[in-house]
Amino acid sequence: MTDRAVANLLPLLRTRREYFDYFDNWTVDTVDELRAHRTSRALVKAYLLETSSSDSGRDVKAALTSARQGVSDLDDSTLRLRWYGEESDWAIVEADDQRYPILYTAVEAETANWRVDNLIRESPRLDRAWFASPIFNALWEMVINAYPDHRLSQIVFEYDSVYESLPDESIAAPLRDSEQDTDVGDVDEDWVESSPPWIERRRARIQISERIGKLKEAIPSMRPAYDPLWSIVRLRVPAPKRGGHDVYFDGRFTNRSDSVTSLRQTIKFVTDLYRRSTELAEKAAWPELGQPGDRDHGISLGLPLLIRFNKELAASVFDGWVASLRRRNNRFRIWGNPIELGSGKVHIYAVDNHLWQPLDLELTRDHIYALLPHNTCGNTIHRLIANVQRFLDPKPEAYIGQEKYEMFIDRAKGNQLIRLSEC
Amino acid sequence: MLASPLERDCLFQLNLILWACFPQPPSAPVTPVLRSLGYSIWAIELPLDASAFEISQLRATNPPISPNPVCDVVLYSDQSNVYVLIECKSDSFGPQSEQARQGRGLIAAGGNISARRPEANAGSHAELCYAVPGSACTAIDTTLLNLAAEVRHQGFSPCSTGPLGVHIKHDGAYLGANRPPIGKALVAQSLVPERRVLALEPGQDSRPLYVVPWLPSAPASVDHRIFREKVRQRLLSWLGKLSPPTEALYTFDDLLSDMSYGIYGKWRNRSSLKGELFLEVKKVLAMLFGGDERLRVRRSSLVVMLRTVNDQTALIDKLRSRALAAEEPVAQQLILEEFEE
Repeated sequence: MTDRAVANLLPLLRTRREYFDYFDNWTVDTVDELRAHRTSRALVKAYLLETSSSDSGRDVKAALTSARQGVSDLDDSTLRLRWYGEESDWAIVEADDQRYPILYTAVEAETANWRVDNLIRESPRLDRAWFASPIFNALWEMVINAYPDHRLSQIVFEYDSVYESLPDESIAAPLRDSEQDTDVGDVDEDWVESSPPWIERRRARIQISERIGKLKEAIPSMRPAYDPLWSIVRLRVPAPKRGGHDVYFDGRFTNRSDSVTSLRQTIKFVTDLYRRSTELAEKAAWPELGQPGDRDHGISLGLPLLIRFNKELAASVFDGWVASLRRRNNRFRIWGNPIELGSGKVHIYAVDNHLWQPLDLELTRDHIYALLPHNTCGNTIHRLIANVQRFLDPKPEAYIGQEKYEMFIDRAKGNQLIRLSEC
Repeated sequence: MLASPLERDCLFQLNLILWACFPQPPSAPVTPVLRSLGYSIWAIELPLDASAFEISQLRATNPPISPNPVCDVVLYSDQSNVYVLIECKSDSFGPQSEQARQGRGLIAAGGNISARRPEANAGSHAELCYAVPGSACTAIDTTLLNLAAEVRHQGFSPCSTGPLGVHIKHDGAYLGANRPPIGKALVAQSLVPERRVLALEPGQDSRPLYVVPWLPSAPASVDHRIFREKVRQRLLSWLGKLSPPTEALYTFDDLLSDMSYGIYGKWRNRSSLKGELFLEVKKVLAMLFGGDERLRVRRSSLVVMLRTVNDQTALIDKLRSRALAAEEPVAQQLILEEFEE
């Protein structure tokens, strides 16, 4: 990052509502000006974060405080973030839920992404949300049901078989998470080629902007012929009037509508879906060792996560993938010392490189088994599936116990609808 | 036919049984054969202590019946209201062996399960199976019937018994017996012929992911790699979450409990295990941190002193980079503080 002055910092306001009114006014101007190609003003964007628990519980304020920024209270559940050396705040954070704070800012995407990446990298108590394709499919279903066929949406599919090209350095994770989806600017860019041209591998990034009616007919018929179309990394949820909100696989949201209120509605919907599905997955996957007799059916050792690949991995891909997990910096963000158990089978008693949570893994060319110790965050499941679909197999099938991963999403969605009807 | 080392490995047997109870989707690499028969895991390392009244009767038994046996794993079936007590053994044994006392104790406990475990469902009953290498099924079946007869002869109700064979074949790991056992335990009768639990590609090792990385009865020859990698994993997880400057303590009890999904806390007589287990933990610590002054190893805990983030990073790097062989002598001296905590 350069040291140039950061644009679009926030004015000092008194209440959360005033901030969102400010974002709303900003949005109306910005979207209209963008449409007329008259502005370089950035769009409002948001980041769904996740704090991990410690002995003292979850604490958003502590998780966000770093050597680079100060955190102050706006009210009981809203925080202001100020980068040291700047005279104004760059973001506010809604912390109604201490596990899932939501950061809002209007600074340019490059700066905002860099700052959020930095905060996450420096705090083992903070992570981003991770949306795997089944969550996007649930959102897409909601979009189809909620909006008429003539409205526009946008879907981005991505698959990059990075392990085909060992020892290509691109196997290492980018230094910044935001580089993983190169559409970091407020204006879409081409997918940046980060590898030397002589390295060949399967690599697909497809962005389709189309009317919902066309998309809902076309996607199911195209998927059988081209499997990267199962791997969604971004979806535009239409706003009620015009434009929409881009939802990214790594918990980012960009407002491309004229209403921040509707952006917040989309974020709330996605957050509730994510929270509920994570909680359901954790409840199923975590072991519970009470005393015999505490429960009708004795102890629970938790349920294993099984991810089956649609096609068996090539031996070279499998070997490249396993070798990458010995590196500190790898795309799956886990580290472990593989125990080789014959050709194409390893066990790794691994640790999350960022949150330091343990995870037991069996890796083969056909599948992954994962056992989650108690308190290993359920977002590990979402992230593992999201990374498999992006880098190993665009159409994996995932199960927790005998239930498909999608069932947990469906159940979470069902609960949301029940809650809405209760309102 | 000689049993393979893995078929004789109690730790492998136990973990195979646990995986045979995990719910799985159709066509998964693991087939939960015990679950498909209606069984789920009910307890691990379950004490089956006799009441004072029963002890007074058991004390005078000859041949002896253990009053306080502990069972490796217990399954339960809702459908038949049956508890299956399973003990893992590397081989069969005869009625005269030292292990027969425990066997009689488990048979007597199974015959009186509602008194031994008051939380057991009303009207339930129990059966006992010994997990042994497939080649030892017939022998253990006969032994268990003899032990049950001895228990009955002394006025106690025995439970049904049977073998649970563990077989490793070229295409996977199996549970069951290749011919019907004489013992009447339902689960043993149901797994004839043996059924595949783990599917394998040619040349792959049969081990599933281990839920339990250590057993009190595990022989000294067991492959320690899993145990040692789990120690490394938990130390990394612990160190990574610390915020320097700090001085932090990790007790070996907590470490072992973390490594085993809390099952270590279920082991009875943990104190008798500590000599063996704590020594193994110290061996791993020596391999990982030998000579590092930021670490102090006490009798039953580890203390780390991190002045800066650099200290933390250096220790984490060390943890990641040091080799942990399956069998490795202690090469470097740890800084020990052998005093009572």
